[in-house]
Amino acid sequence: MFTILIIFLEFFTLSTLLIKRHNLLINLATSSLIFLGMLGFLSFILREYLGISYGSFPNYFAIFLFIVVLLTLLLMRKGETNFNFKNYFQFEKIERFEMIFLLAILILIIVGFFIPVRGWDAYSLYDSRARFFESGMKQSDLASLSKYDQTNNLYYFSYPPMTSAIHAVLYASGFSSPTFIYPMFYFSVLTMAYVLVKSLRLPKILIFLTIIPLALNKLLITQIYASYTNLPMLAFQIGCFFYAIMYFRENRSVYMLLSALSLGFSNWTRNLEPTYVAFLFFSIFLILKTKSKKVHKIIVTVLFLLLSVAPRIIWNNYISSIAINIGEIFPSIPILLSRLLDSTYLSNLIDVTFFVYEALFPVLIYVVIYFVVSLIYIFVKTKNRENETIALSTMLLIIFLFVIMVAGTLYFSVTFAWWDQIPGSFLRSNLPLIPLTMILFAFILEKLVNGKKINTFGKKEKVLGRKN
Amino acid sequence: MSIGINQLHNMKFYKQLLGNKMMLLMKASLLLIYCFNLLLIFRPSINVKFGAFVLENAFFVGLMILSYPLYLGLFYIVVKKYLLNSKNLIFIIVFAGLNIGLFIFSWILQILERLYYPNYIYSSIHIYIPYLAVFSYLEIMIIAFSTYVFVQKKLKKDTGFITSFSKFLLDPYKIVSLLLLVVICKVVVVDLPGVIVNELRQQSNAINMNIEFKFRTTDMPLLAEKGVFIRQNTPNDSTIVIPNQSGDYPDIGNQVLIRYFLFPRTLVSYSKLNDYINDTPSNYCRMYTLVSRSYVDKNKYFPDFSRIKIKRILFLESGGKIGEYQNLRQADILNFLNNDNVLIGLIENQECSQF
Repeated sequence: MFTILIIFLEFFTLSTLLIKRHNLLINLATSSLIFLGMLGFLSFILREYLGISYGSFPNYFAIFLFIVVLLTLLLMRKGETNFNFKNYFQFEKIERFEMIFLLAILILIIVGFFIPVRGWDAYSLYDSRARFFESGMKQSDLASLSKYDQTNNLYYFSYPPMTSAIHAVLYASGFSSPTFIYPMFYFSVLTMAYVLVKSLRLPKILIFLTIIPLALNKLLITQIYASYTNLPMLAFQIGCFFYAIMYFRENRSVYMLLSALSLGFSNWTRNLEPTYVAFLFFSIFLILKTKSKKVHKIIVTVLFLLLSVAPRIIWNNYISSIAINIGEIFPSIPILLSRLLDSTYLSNLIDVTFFVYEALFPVLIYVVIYFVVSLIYIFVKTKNRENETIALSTMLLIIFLFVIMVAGTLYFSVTFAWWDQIPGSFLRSNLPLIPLTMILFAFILEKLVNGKKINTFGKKEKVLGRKN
Repeated sequence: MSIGINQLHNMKFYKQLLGNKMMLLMKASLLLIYCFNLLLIFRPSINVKFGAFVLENAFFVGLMILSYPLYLGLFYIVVKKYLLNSKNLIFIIVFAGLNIGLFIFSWILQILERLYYPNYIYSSIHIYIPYLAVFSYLEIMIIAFSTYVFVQKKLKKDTGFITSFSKFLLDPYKIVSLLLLVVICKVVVVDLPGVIVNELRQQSNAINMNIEFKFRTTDMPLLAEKGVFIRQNTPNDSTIVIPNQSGDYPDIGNQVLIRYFLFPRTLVSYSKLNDYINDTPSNYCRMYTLVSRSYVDKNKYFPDFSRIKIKRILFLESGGKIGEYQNLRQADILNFLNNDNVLIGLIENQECSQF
């Protein structure tokens, strides 16, 4: 238990040193996201390929990280003339609202220690696997459990083991419940959205109001104590989104590394949805838009691709290495295209449209917001080119996500008989829509607010510019 | 086309923008959405429990009822004062009539459902009621539509409340604020109370359940009781025969689900029992069999008692009471299972190969 805390503190130190922004919120969000991702990824790899158990993994990892921190310190000391360790840990003053937010999250995390695991999928898959791992089994041994199962033969291989491995490490370190990691994911989603919104020139009250529909959204808060993988997936995807924007703004490679890692971890959490492609394109688009040399851009893009897709490749290879054919969920591109063409007959299209409409019904209001806001966007001019690019690419990202999900549904509709039985999981896969829409919303608000000068109470003070 | 913020106050701009074609487009899209929702409601292939829906959306439905007079009043003003074009007039009257008719219809259906049993309408006439709530979104659209008509008619005479109201709606900053307000209301007022109530129930389950912390599945407390009962009464190295997964035995027939409680015991689906017996040497056998009545068909039981030799049998009753019996006849066992208090039974088999 103590080792886990040390690992977290090491991550915190590392992120504070590398990010170089004296903002406690960013550092906490980064360290919790990367900390959880690393736990879930490395512990599994070390267990399967090197045989290091989930119980002893934290010890090795803590020592390794300690060395990394020392090395970073040494390198920075050489690189900077006036290096002062203390300077890095002097954070900007925290506002009262942020203080309350941190306190609320802290309470959520502490309550998480005393809440048992929850959720059908957690019992049947994620937490089950964690308990098998903790008892000493490897992922490849799990096929033997289902030997006398009538239906779910390869069920334990249906998703990559991100949350299972985290749970296993935590169980092996003496935690009685791993539920507290989900408030941490929730925290990082909210913080990243908040930092992005805060970086815009908006009155405080508007920042607060744009964050509320995200923070209190039913779909998100019901996941805080449920051990599903959707919230972690969302956190990693938003991480990728956030750091890509930070890279675009500040052009520092730490952010690109973090963005690629986050996307990689999201691939290590769930691999059935093709949504990662949208985030991949988004990040690469922003990389190509930054002001740097062409060679540099190409190198960064290639590295980004490698890092972010690697976990996916590792998992697919792992599955095929233990000679399991999981079915046609990962098709080749020609098959995919032909299936998509096959699926475009009228009655199927109608069925799919119904399905999408039904499934997205609870987030319809966000879809409406998206369309209205995008329409307004086209008619309003702004001088800030940087924000313009970000908002535009976010708009494209949302459309692309949607198109991908619909295409995926079309593919499923001609491949699996049960495709229309899962509107709930289709909805949960579309969770990124909520934070992305609200962030986009804030960008448009900024455009409007700064076009018209307003004071903190939202009243019109003075209209700038030419009058008609 | 892109314009500055100040041009957005210019009414001429909107007049150009929203010409007759726009009007046509709006009508068409409104009709399209309307037909779409109708189709959705009468489509006989979806199955969701209705009672839960009404409870969760009680506030929402209440708001719908309250907002109806308001929006009818709005319609009245629009139609009477500003709609000189007879085509538009007919369209709006027909549209409003249809909408009101459907609304009343949905309430009759809901009352019927309350009088009989949940899901009565769906099972008898295959109409899917929850999506009638879709029409609340339509209301918003109708209001927008009427406002559009105000603007078109009012542009010529530029005075009074209506002009300022339409100006309000045409200001993008205010549209955005309005949207923000709507989404905050939806999230905080409509959704949040239900979430909090559910969370409190889960938390109180987590505290009050009389089960080992590791197995407190707070959202499925009954399953946890059954699982822990089986776990406590079977040794770790035993083999448990369970029914095949189906609608009859949705929880205990699902191996991956109940393995959560029973690991490291070996679980064998009934259809795979012969494979298991062939694979396993007969001198090593600690076999148990689950006993349960089907969820769907009350005359269906697992297992087939005529083919099994019973050493002893345990029954778990709700409230945690466990009864242990030996030498029960088949009729007695069925009597036990027909008692609604009995959650599940567990047979310790006499030998290995007795099926």
